Amino acid sequence: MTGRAEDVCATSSVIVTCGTGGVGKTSCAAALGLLAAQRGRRAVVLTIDPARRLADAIGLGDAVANEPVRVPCDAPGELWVAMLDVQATFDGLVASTAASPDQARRVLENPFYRGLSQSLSGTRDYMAAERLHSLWNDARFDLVVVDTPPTRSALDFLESPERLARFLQHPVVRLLVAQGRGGLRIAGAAMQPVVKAIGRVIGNDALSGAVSFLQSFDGMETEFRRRALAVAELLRGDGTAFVVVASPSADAVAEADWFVSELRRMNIALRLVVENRVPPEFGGRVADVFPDLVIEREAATGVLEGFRKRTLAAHPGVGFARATESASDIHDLAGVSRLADEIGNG
Amino acid sequence: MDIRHFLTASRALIVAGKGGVGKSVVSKALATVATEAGLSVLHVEIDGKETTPLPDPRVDTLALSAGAALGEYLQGRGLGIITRQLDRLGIVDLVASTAPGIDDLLVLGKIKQLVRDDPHDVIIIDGPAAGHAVDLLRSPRTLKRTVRGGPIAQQADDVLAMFADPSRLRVTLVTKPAVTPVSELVETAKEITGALGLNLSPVVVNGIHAGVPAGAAASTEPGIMRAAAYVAERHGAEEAAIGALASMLPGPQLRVRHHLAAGADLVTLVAGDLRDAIGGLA
Repeated sequence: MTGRAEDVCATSSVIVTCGTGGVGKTSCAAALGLLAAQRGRRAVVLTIDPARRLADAIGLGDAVANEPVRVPCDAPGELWVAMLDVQATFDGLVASTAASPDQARRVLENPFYRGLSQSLSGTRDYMAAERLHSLWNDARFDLVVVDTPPTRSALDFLESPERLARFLQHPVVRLLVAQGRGGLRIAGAAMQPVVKAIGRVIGNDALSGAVSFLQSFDGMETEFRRRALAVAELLRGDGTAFVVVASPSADAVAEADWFVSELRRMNIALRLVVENRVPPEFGGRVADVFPDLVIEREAATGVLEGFRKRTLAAHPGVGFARATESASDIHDLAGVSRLADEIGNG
Repeated sequence: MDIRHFLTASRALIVAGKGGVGKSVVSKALATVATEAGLSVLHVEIDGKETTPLPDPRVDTLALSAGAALGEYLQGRGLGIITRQLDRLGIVDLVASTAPGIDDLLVLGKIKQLVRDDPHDVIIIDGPAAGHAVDLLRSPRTLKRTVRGGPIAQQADDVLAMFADPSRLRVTLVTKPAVTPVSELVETAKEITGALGLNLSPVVVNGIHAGVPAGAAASTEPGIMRAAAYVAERHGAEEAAIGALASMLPGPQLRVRHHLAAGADLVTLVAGDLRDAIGGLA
């Protein structure tokens, strides 16, 4: 396994792209999907970004939704794109893990569940992991490229399945469930003041909404946990390649450094770095008329040199690909295709 | 427009925008402009990681974090007796999961308090990064769906009342002059002014590059010709994005040039452009 973009796209079954906002991460995710399609693979690019960036990046507009859409492109393989719909994914998960349609209906209609599935950013991370897993299992695709949110919380999504499992195992949660059934007062005695206080803080109707959710959910957590562990295993498996996208500004490189060291801390090997939006080199006497272009190019080269050294020290096997800043931002397939060519050439 | 008048039209401004558009620099530059106009300023950072220092030491700063706000709230509300257990038992996480968005709402509650009680002339808030700004602003509406009574529902109502009052709070949206950030800004603007009832202050278009200087177009030197073509294309794309923004979201724009500087120097340069842009508003 090398860190060349071409090999990463040819051999991985999951690619996770990380990077801060403004580095062109979504365009790079699409470009990696396209590179795979050009090598005959059937790739789906999933964006979990709350904004509609992917649709814009490939010029598909409103056509992109939770269900993958095939992008018409001239390649022996296939390129598909999908955008995470947290609500639809969570509803689907509930429907498939419930013991009966009746249990599924009780959970889906619970107001606490509606709130949970619509707002909690932890839920978004978790559903992204779930969606990734179901696309990975989908026989239509050989490769899933996941475009994570453009913030530090991007890596939360790696740990989100375990976090939900922990929540469901929480002693107070277990107590609330038991209480609703009318038992276990003695076992939970130590937790009683906590439950009362929580009720005071958030209001008893919210608490009872949560309690009835947890009751209707009861029994499903085993299956939830099983799937959570399967996702965690997939993300840490050999078939999953992590890619960091960086652009050569001081802020963006500082963020990229953070991703690099977090992956190291989590014992996850970084396969590829895409140095994106690097100012182009024009040569000749460009400095006479456009000194800023030369200054920016030189500053970028210096910043990236330091970044490469630090990244190589943390992840010795990592590969690097470089793409130049285009004059206008990428918002159609032709732009993605040019980017794919640059990334593919290293 | 008079700068003091512009900056004190609301007690507080929330500066929001997707990652990479320079939201933090713009918020700090606005604080600088206000200070230089003789106003006292409080600059508030939400869940921020301090990267760019403020160039003007007269600006007071405050950091708010959602997690800390929730922990503090729980301690003040009867969970204080078990403070030591809060962390160990993961109670803060538990409450955050039971009433999703409660931590964000508490941050907005703190802002509401500042708007009412803080002695500074103007409060400038650097919102959380990227998509999370919208989650933050959405939190009172989200919570009202699950929490119908009690202190949290009251807090949500109070925050929504502040949203609807432009003399207390407005939102400054920041974008780069490019297609994708512009379309995201328009989408965000629709949501926060529609469902959430917030009021917008003029949008900031940050990082506008200059076009090809006169004389360069005539050059036949290959490097210069390639660069001139690049700069011309970039300029055209930026002008098109700015035009698209103006047609989708009519109203005044504050335009800020692209600067090569970084850190506090960049804040100073952006502040200069903002001062000129505000001065030029009708």
